[in-house]
Amino acid sequence: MKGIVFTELIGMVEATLGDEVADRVICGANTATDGAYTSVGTYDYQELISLVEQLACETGQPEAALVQSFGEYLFQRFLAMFPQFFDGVDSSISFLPTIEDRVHVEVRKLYPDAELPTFACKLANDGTLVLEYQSKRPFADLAEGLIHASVRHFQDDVSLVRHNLGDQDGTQARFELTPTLNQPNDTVASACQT
Amino acid sequence: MSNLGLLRRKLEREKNARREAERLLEEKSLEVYHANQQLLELAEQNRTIIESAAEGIITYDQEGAVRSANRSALRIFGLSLINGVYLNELFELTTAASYGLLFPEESNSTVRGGSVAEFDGHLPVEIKGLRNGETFQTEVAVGRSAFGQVTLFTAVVRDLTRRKKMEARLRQSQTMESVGQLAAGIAHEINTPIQFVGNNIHFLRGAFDDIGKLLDLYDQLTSAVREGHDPAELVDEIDRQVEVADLSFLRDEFPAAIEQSLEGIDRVAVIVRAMKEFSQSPSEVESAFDVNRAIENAVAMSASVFREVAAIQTSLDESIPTVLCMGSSLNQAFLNVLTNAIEAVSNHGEPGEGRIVISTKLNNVNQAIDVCFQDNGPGIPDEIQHRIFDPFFTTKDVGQGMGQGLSLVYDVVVNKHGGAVSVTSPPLCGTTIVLSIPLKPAELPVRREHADAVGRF
Repeated sequence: MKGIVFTELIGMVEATLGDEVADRVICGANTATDGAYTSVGTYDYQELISLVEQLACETGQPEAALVQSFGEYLFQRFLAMFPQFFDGVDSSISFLPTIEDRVHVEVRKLYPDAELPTFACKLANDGTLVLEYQSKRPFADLAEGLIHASVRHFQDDVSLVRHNLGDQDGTQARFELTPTLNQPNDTVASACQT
Repeated sequence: MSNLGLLRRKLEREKNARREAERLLEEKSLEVYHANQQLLELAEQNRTIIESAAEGIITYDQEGAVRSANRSALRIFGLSLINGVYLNELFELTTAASYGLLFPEESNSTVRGGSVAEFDGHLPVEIKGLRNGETFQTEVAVGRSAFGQVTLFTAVVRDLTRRKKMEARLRQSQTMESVGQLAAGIAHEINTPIQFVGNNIHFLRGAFDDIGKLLDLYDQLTSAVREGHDPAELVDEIDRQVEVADLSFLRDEFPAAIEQSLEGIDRVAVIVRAMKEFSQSPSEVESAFDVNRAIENAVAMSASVFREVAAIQTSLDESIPTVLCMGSSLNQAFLNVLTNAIEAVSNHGEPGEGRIVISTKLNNVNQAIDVCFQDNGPGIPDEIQHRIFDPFFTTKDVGQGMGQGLSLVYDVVVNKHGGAVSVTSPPLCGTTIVLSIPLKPAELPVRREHADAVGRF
């Protein structure tokens, strides 16, 4: 897993919970790298899971909710760091399909060996975007957080429904974004099922 | 927990992260270096391959300006520098159509952004090249590549000068081979009229001896009458000599003998003319060509071969115009098709049952002259119909034929004149071969595959 995910997670903890909590999470996770991450490196995703487990202990929140929150944070960071990916895009239904063909293409230019998840998108006749997430790593929650943040960012009137697929272990999930006319974004959030 | 301890740990993590980042940077730099080395080696390898290619390879832009060329291209066009030269300085491009052949339209075979695609869309074309102010024949295959907004064309150029010479020699040798194969028959065709012309002349000479005696007697009679002598004895002598010479017979036979002799001389003249026209040196230069006369020549040349096995009927449209073409090549093509038809009917049915009909007509739709050879031979089996125009394909026994006959026909009609060849051969219903000779030969005939023609049968 690319180092940027690790550095951003630690950055989020430091920004929201402070340096002391971040230090405890890193020390408690007892990872091989001992928290010395660089965004251009590649690390075992188990270290991220260890860090999240420690964060859950520190905060008392479920790991899945933490990973989803991290996904939302990560979207905002991507928005700030890579604004070019969002140029000319005005909705999540038009943005999400570009992840595979545009964002991942650029990532592979810098990191040809990156093992990226796949986001297979299909637009149904009723305007519903069906996005199938598949990864070797169990981070469907992270994907959900990213999608959720995307919907919020574009202020889309859509409902988001998640169906876990495969071994139900977070490596495979289908997300359905259905336009809901005149429906406030809060409703979109409440429509999310895990 | 002291802030100092926390900061120390954070600093240590940052240091380690920086060291890791530096290590990764070095690792990536090394990877980039090796990748560059590989690319340089690959580029050098590709450059060597292109430079050592026997064919000329040039790339040019949409304006026709040459961007790059290999060594063979410089050699082929006799230049030491070619970059920036325009295509009309390399090729004889007199019309928009010929110019367009070097700028194929975008197709499935267009190579985009360096991705590999099949180079199957654009067949080679023959175009005249320019070298030191003189023209020479080239074969050019053009590919189209698109790099973003930039379109480049790649032409593989083959100098056909040597091949054309070889082909000319081959055609000449094939012509001579045909003449050789037909020589015995032609000798017979000439010998027969010569014999009866000789017999007639012998007859006329013998008859003239008798008539000469009569003329002497008439002279004596004239003198006797003029001098007032009695002519009775001379008149009796003349009567006797008239009987001896059989003058009434001679009166009947003389015109016939003379007519027959003239006919015989005409027959010889036709054969000699056919041989002369047939044996002329093959030339790439196009000139006016009388298709009907060429058919008559082919029939005259092969008369001795078919007389015993088949009857040849010609139905030649006298209104067809002459065509501009390479006459010697077409002569050979007609003779090859006719020879094939004769061989087909001779191997099928009883002697004399063979029928071959040769017709010519103007095809207004295709603006061509259709020359149709129809025989009542055994036909061509389905399984070999697609191969009959392949070079060296033959159904004859070893030593009986080289399999070049119909291959040459295809090459002459389709490749050299931009015409068409079609074959119809239903099972056991004979064969019909139609050669379509364009009234105006295509300016730059596109080389087509044999299979194309067979597919239209």
